[in-house]
Amino acid sequence: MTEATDAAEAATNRDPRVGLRAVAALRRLAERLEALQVDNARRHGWSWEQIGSALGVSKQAVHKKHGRR
Amino acid sequence: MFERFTREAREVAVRAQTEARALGHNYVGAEHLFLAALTQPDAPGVTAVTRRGISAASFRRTAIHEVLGGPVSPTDSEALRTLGIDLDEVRRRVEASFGPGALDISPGQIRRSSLPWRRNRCTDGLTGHIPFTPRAKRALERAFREAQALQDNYIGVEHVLLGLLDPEGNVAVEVLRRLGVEPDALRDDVLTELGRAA
Repeated sequence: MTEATDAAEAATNRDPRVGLRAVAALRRLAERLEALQVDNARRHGWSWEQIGSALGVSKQAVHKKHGRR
Repeated sequence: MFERFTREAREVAVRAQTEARALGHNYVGAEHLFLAALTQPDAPGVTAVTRRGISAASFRRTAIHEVLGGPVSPTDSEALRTLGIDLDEVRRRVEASFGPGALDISPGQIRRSSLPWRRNRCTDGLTGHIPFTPRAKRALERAFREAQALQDNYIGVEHVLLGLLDPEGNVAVEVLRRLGVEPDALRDDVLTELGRAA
């Protein structure tokens, strides 16, 4: 029973429509969480350099993306 | 424009700006005015709305999720479940840290490009006056006419509410319909409440 359910789920996830839709949703969620965390870090007095470093991107990239809010 | 507005009705116009800003919107629409009215439960006419089970929170949620299409949508919830991610749980945790609606409010990301009044965009986004949409202006003009029709020499929250219940439609009306309330029926409720209060 469980095996059958797993197989069905795996098959569903191999469907590009489902898989790509999930990736897009995950990206939107990640973007939203990033915006929240960057705002929070700025309120805590973090520099763009520190934020960029924590996110694994350059300070210019993070400032360009979030600096205008 | 606001000379004949009561103190409460002015407050609605001011709070509508705050609501718009909090949602990251660069315009004040009918939905923001309606939300602002809901934040004043004691103002005339508002009880008729809350008695229908509509609160500022439920109106805001429906506006974001179902009408305006925020960045994290209900369909995203299903898509994320296929990855084993429970969006409701994520939302719960985010709101525990950052407050109600934190996951749904997305500064500068809410369909800005699809807005026809983009050129009016408020550039500082924090302190400037945010322009009313044509539908919001129309609702305020309708509020004047509603006051005239009721032979009131002031514009109160009740007239603003009646003005917002525009038969030709606006985002507030759309949200109300999603919440299962027909604008005509709500209009009757508001008028009944006023009749009783008079």
